[in-house]
Amino acid sequence: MSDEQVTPPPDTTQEIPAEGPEATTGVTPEVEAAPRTARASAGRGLWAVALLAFAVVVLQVTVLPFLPMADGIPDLVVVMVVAVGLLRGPLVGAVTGFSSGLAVELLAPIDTLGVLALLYLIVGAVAGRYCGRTESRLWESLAMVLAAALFVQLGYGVVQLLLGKSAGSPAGFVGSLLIPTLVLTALLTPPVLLAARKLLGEPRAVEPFALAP
Amino acid sequence: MAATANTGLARKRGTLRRGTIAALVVLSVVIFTAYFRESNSGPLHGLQDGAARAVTPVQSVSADALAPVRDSWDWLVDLRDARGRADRLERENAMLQAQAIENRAQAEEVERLRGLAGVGGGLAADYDRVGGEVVGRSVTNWYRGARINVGSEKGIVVNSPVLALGDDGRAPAGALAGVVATVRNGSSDVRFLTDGRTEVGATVQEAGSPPGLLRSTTPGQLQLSGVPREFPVREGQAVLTAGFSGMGLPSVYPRGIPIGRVTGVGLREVDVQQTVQVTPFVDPRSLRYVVVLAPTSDDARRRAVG
Repeated sequence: MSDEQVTPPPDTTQEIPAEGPEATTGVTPEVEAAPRTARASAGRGLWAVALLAFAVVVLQVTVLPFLPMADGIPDLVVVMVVAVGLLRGPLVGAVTGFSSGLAVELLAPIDTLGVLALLYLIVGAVAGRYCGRTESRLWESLAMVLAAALFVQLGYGVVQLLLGKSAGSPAGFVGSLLIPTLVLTALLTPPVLLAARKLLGEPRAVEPFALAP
Repeated sequence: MAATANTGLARKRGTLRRGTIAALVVLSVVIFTAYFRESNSGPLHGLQDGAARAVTPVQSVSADALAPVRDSWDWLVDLRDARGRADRLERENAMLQAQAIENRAQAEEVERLRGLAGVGGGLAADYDRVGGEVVGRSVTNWYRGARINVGSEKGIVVNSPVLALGDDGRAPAGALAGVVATVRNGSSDVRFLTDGRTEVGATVQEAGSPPGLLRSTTPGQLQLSGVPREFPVREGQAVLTAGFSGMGLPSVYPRGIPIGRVTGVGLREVDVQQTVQVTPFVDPRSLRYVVVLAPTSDDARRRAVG
């Protein structure tokens, strides 16, 4: 991943079309030609991210726990955070992950605060490093979502064990909790990725606010 | 010249991006640490309570709106299990009819003796039964809990026992479902028996065993430990709250609340104690309405304090 991207002048835009990590040179001509349009597009993009995150958090907190399928609860938030990271880069992915995780922990009956926020933040930041690489390969995105869901489940599990909760036997944990959760999450991944792509459009990494040179 | 300026700017942006992410990581760790270090009345718990208070009406509406979907799902699950359940229930019914007659006689005897000795009036005297609806559920499999739409305004306190209403025929009415973990005006969070942190002092009454400690092991299964080997625990026997914890201290759960049924007993030659597997009567996943025991007597309030 290349962190050092050559960007347009600070007074033009905050978004960079992502063409993979190697896309590090040159000023985007369209942006120079139409700064107002680019700025407006950036705004729409971030509002769309906020809208998507809000909808997914509400679904995760109010609907999914009420549909008992095996012992698993699909993790829609991790799918959304990965999708946002892939489409908007590490910064927006991390901020979306942090705020979504915190929102879930505030709204759902769950006795932690900050744990899911940290785990989703890491997921968003890591997924953002691949912004623009996997836009046309669903199976790569699916693999990334499953890896992220596994990371969140295991990470949350480790914290719970540190807090003194029993996980039962490892076989029971894997067979009854982990696998159903991953399978259900995988089933929900394609529609969420497609919805995110439709709502957010082409992948483009969003950089921090313009700095004075 | 312009390229140098752009490279410098990109570097600053990269630094700012990494700095922002690092700051969020630090903030998460600070929140997480502060949350577990502060008391239940601390500012972060207060923030969580405020959010819960604000979202409870929305969750209540969505729970009602989702009821048809859940009913359809439950119906499908019931249909799949119907034949096996019918056979099992017929056998259980015959057994329970015989037990019921015996229990009635014993209950009359107990009441008569209580009257003579002037000892306790049972649940009815010590607790108010407050009905509540499940409006929110945990989003992880680690914390097995739910949010209900009744709280401190009904006299509910932390550690109030929560029972199944038994309206759907899946769990017997009055079976133990869990305990109130957090209470606020208008809503409470319930921690189910199947949560890894819930521990209940329990006994197998038919075996005459002293109180052991019951806690969740694998999802949907409980384990009762601390039962001496000389007490003959058998499969099918009922497990009830003991009124005392394993340490002999008063438990937050009053005596005699049904919890589940023995489904397995582990005992090796060298063991001093038996390990008893228990399947709870209440499956929290299908729970929609509950009864909370709000303490009214001094004894019940003392129990709730723990």
